[in-house]
Amino acid sequence: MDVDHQIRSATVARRFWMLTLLILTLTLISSALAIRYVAMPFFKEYQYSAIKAQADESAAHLNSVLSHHQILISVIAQDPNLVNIALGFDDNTSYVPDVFSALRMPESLSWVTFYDAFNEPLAHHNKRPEERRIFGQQEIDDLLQASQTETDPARLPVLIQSRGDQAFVVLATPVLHQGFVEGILLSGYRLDTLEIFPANDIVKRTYLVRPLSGLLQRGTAEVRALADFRLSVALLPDPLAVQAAGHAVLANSMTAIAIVLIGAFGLFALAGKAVIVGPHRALEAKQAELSELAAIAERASDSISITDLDGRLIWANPSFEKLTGHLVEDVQNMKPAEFLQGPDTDKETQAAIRRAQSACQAIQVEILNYRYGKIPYWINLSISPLKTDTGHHYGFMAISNDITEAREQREAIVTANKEIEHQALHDPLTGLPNRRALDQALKQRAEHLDQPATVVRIDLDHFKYVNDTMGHEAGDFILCEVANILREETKSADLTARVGGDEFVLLLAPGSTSQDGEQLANRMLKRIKLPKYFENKSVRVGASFGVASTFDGLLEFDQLIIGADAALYEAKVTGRNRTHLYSPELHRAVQARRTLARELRRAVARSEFEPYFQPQFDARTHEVVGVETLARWHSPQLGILMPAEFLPVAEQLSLVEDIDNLIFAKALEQIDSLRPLGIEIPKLSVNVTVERIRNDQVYEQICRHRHDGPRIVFEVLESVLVEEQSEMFHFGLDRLREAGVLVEIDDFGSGHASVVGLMQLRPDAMKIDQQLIRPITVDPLAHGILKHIIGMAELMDLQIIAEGVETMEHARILRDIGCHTLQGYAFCKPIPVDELREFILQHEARLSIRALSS
Amino acid sequence: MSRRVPNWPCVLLFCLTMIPFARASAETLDIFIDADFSKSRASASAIELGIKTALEEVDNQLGGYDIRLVPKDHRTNVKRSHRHIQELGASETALLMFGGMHSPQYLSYRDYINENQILTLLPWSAAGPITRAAPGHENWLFRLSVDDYQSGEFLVNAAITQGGCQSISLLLLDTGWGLANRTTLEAALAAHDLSANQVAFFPTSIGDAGAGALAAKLATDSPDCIIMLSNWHNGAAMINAMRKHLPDVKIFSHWGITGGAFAEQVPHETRAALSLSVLQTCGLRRERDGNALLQWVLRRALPDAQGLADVSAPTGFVHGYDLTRILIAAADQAATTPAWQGSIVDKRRALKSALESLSRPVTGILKTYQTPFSAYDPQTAPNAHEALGLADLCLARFDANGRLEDLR
Repeated sequence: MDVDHQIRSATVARRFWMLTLLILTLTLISSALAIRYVAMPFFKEYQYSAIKAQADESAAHLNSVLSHHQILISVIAQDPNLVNIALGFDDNTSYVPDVFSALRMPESLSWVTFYDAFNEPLAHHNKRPEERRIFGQQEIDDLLQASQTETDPARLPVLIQSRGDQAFVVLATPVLHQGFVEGILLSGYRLDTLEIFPANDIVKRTYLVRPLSGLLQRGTAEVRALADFRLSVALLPDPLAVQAAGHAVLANSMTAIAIVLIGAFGLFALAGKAVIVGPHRALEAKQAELSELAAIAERASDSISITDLDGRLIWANPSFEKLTGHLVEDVQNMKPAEFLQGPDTDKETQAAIRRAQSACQAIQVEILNYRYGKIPYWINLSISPLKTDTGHHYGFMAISNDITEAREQREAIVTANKEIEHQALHDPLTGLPNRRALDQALKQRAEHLDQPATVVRIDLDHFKYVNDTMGHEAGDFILCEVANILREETKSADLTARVGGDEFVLLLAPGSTSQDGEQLANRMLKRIKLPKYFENKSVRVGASFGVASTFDGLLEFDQLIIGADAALYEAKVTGRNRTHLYSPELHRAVQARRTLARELRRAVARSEFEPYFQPQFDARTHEVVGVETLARWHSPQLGILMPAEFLPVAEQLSLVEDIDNLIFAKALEQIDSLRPLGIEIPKLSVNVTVERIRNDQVYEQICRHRHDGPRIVFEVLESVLVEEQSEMFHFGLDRLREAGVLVEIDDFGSGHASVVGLMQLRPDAMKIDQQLIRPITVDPLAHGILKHIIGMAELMDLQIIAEGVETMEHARILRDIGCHTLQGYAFCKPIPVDELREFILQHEARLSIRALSS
Repeated sequence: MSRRVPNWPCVLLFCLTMIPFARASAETLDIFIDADFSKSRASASAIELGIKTALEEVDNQLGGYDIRLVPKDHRTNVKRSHRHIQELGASETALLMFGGMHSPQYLSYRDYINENQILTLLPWSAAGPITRAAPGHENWLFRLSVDDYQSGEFLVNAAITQGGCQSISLLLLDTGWGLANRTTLEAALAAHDLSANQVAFFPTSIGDAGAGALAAKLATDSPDCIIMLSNWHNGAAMINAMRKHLPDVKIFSHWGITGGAFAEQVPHETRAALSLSVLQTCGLRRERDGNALLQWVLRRALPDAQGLADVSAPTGFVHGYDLTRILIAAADQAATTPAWQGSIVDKRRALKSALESLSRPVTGILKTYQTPFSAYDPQTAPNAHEALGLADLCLARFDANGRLEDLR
């Protein structure tokens, strides 16, 4: 019989594995077909979209490069001396070459020719003059003609010629006088198309073309017109690469699907083996086990007995005799209840056993028995009905064991637990329920919200003063006195809880309104304010109360504690020793803060914070020597917000560090993005907290920063000079300095202005607070104080930066008294990176022209 | 023998058909007006109106030739004027050229004009050297306008006597015109034992920011008066800037500021606060004195005008008219000479000779010109091509409506 069993099990197992393999194969084939006919068209569409996106990007990039060149030349075209030459007032033909030689022009600029209003060339600036000959005279004449007739065309006319990987472009910039074209600056550029439009997997080559050129007729080219110039870029997709990418996608998808399916089928097979094949094998073992059970029952330590349907004892094991003290032959055919149970046996339990037996149901109980009819002991009794294979009941099996000792231990534990639970829910000092008890009560109340609920939140005023001046015993005394007042003033249905050092919460009885809470609070306040006497000394404390109720319709039950807290805060800030209701006005203020907080969290997730840059200038040459980074929040809902409008809430939400990280990373990235345009910012300043100096992530961010980029400057507030700083702070500071970071003291003079602090910290520079800068033009005292501060800084070899420079008169005075660097609205307000780029280009051009004119 | 009788109907028909041919053979001569019709349209249009009004009195004919006025817009560009001058030189029908309000053109190309015998009449340009030909050159430029060799003295006298100023700064346009005036103004100051506090130049493309910086620089010396030479748009920027930095200064301006929309860009309170006086010839004074010719001319030129101030640039109108009256008289005189029937070059020369030797007086708005011009000699007759003198200069000011009024 065992052999038959094994043969059946092996057959079942073989069929199971074959079926699994067959389904796996069919699934793989159908997946391959699905990808081939469904997914591949989508992939091709995706690739086409990628080519279009790259065409857009290439056109925008080239437009930006040409705009940059156009802006530079436009600044020169507005030079008054140049306009005078165009008008014939001045015939200084060397002026134009001198200007271009003096300015730092982009490397791509090959030549410039200055024409008068009659297209006669007046002057040349030649860096690579041979590139001018690439263009025919006729097309140059046409370009000049077009530029003469249109003073402000929507798209500027240009010339373009390509030679291999290089494109040669000519821009025409009008020289205007009172809105009329009186001259033209033609500027020629050599552009490396491979550098501007690097080839990649999908695009073989990008061309610069004129609109309507022959290349545009090719169906495969993707063409984009530039926004500001009469020029287009054409991308030629690589068909072989596109096809190969399609095959690769098919192969990769199938590999991935195959791995997933084989894994999934493997798990299925293992589970199937456990459910189908396994039981066959388990059955064999079961039969062997049954024969051993009888022997086990004989040797079991638990008492086992068998009775008939009437409950009379038929069989019992030796443990039964040991537990009951009766021999089996003495009590056979007797009902166990008759010789085991006595006067203290629970009647209910006995009845339950009888009911279960009548209904032929299993039962488990704990019941008191008597050994030898007089010694009581507790047993755990399990009674199960016995039935034949056909389902016919023929008796009961009872299993029991002595639990007398275990039961005693359990009862001791229950008693101990009750004590612990009381302690866990009550404040040991005042005996009032604690925060946990309050939470439980709130939870219970939340299940029955048919009546209004009211919460009063209490905070003692100046309690710390009692603790500090009279000791903790006096403090404890006051807390107990206050607890008594709360107990006496509340009703039994109210819950009074101490939830913190000197904080209490009252959950009033169901049905209470905010007026009830206010009246109760005022009664309590009156009593709390009365002097208390501790060791014959008078002690006075006050209390602030915040009342919030669902009765007013402003709050849901689960917001009551928060509402009462907000009301308490209002009571505190409006003068303490008073009661404040959670009013509609307060509700609106809380809602507004909540909206701001919610938007702020979203803003961090969506990176809505943008760095603004305020340039800093050399006090003598007015060259840009750095920029300070300032945060602005571009909220789609709330508009552009200044830090003062969102930082307090951000601090409450612990989002300041996230915002700082975001701004710093964006600032580095944006300043780096100016380098390809030839704009190198020497110094990038950011405001940092003491915590950020210690922060490892900041340090890693600094280390990742490119070494040839701007110097990073951390501006720390002056208050750092007087606060005691940890070893960790100094370690962080040294580490940042080694990584090249400069340290500046911000807003010097607005707070403590600690000289000792300065000597210890040894910053690289000191930024003087704008409150000291503003009055220097009118107040001799402010002027004198500033001079002395600068003298002190010179002694310590510190650079001086003045912020809040509002007028050029400020700038002149600050330069004369020795400031090194100036920052303020007299020069430039904080601006985003796009405006910074324009500002610096125009500023440099103006400085160069001023230098040349002087 | 048959006698041939003339076919009278045919003769009559021939004569009738010849009449239009005879009229058609009357040649039309061109007169160029080389002025800025774009950026200083008011001045150019006023000059053109003055010339037209005078020519209409003689049916648009000079010495028997029909005259066609050809506006040539130089847009303040010196080179564009040069092309107009070249075009006139090469033309077989262009008789002469009137200039506009600007001077740099004729300062730069004076010698070219004289060498190529381009007859040029200037109703507004004020720069002194224009009508003083270089040694060895003929002089083909005639002026009926302010002469800066004399206006410098007039402005300095006005600043000292009417303005009561002892501390005077000069603010000049950075062109040949401004540079030339520096010399005459400084010489006039020296004649009073004074020297300029500051001499500041500004470019034609100066903006509000540059004007502010320059005014602040001028304010460092706190002058009593500033004598200014400027065109109207740069002048407006400078005066607005001076109102801020030099609120108490008195300004005596050359008349360049009157050629455009100056009064629209400088508010009346600014003009009044700075006691802005403007150099003029005495047309407004003639009007106030009830000059009958002026009233008659004005009524014909602009029937709706209440007075001379209704002409947006009255100087150009009056000078254009008077100068054309002189031209008409000269043409009538030249037409009596054989050269008038010669080539265009001969005609120009005949006209030049007549201008220098008019035999009878010409009545104009400003005055009756006895001998407006005479033969030029740099040594003995340096002012021979100036129709006006120091006695013909007056000061004017803008009233609340932005119109000029005589300041006596």
